[in-house]
Amino acid sequence: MHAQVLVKINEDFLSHLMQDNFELERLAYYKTIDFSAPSYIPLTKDIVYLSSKYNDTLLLNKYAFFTKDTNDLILVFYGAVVLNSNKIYTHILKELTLKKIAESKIAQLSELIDFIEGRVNSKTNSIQFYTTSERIKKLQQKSLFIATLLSIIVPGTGKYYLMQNGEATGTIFLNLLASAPVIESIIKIGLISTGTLITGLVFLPVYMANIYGTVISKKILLKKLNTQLKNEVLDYCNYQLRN
Amino acid sequence: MKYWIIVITSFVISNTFVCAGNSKLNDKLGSNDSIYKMELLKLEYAFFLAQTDAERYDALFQKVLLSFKNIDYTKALKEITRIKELDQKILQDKAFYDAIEILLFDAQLYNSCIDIINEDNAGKLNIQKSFIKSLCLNQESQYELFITDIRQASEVLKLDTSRIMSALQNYFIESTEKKSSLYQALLPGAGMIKEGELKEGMVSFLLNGIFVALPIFLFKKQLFFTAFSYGIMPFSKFYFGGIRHTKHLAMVNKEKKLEEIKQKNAQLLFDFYNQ
Repeated sequence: MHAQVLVKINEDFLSHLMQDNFELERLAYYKTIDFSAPSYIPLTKDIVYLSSKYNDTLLLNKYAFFTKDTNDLILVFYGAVVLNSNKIYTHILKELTLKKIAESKIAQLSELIDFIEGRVNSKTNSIQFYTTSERIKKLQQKSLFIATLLSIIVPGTGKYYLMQNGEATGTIFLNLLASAPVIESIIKIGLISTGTLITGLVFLPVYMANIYGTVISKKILLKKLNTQLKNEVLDYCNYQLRN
Repeated sequence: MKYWIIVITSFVISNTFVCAGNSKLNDKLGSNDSIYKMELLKLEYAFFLAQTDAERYDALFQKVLLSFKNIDYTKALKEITRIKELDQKILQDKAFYDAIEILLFDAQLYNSCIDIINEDNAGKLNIQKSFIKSLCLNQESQYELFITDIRQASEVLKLDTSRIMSALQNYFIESTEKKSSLYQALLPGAGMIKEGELKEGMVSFLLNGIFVALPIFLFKKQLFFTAFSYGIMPFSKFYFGGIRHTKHLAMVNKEKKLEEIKQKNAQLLFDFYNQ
């Protein structure tokens, strides 16, 4: 490994790179320049945009120490969220709190961190990602015991309770299909017969699968919703960097 | 008893249990290409400092080679466009078009390769150029352009076309998708056999047969619900699934035939240009 010598910004060359939109070359160039030297070209948005696009956490981490104002810091924050670099965004949030910027902005940024790290609780009151965060909150309040009990009594209803209407309808339909032959066998052949035993054996795994499905469905749906929320946050941060 | 065994098997096969699976997010890790980016930067700086078009050409051509080496074709095509804006004399002197044609052909960018050959107005039509263009048109299944190109080449290069013209095959293949699907719908298994899958066709015929016979048997025993659950549901699954699979087989066979034609035509082209 050779130690890299940092150079001053050649503004003409950088303008040339920006004019023709040479992203890869610009990204490489930013790694070689000394950010402490004064520059008249605004770099922050471009650096953060390129670092997040090409997954260059090192460049973002390095540049975070050379930001000029709070707007720059906020942009780096968005980039760090996109790159999932928790060290950078946590550090920036602390720094922004010390700089005493508007409380609403701080609350908004800390909410982004909460959402990206999967923290939604009863106190969360999001305006930007209202629909998804409210769904998560509602689901968290649902009792798994009641859902399981409902599934045992009437297959499928547990999933209705857990807000999974599509899956619940499928479960009901499947259980009806599997239970109809059992009932028919009992009525036409008798309770203690080979037919009832066999149709019962077919019905049993379907019924058990319905209960098991309900037990794990809350966890799975929560995971899905958290991923959805995370993607919404990433889209929001990307939008801030690209516009 | 044996009927009950069939009933259970059919039910188990036809139903999927309501067990949702965990889906894992596949995080794609980017490759370490910082050396490539740095090399691009150095060459762009050389271009920036260049005083003449010849120097600019050298820098850009190096960038093209580097991009091809790193399989970054978008970048390569962008740099090729920049080179084309330079002085045409230099491009001719440095045999730019000849080199790029081969690079594009190797990278399987056939349409771009054809464009470059067409743009090379100053370059004379030679065997190599014509052969590459014909091969590109062959890969892109452009039959009419392909024939025109061979005729032009034969006039300029004075080659005998009598053998190749009679042997060349058109890329148009009539799709058997509809016909095979109809066969499969009328007699399950027939469509698959028509597409050359004898074993799959036999299995499809047997399964469909079983699930037609089963509900009839259960219906006669006045077990109507059981007939519906254990018979009709699996039958519809195998019946419609079979038709869908036949369509897929027809599509795969069409692609195979097209590939065979391309290979045969490529061999004919090779013989034609080596006569």
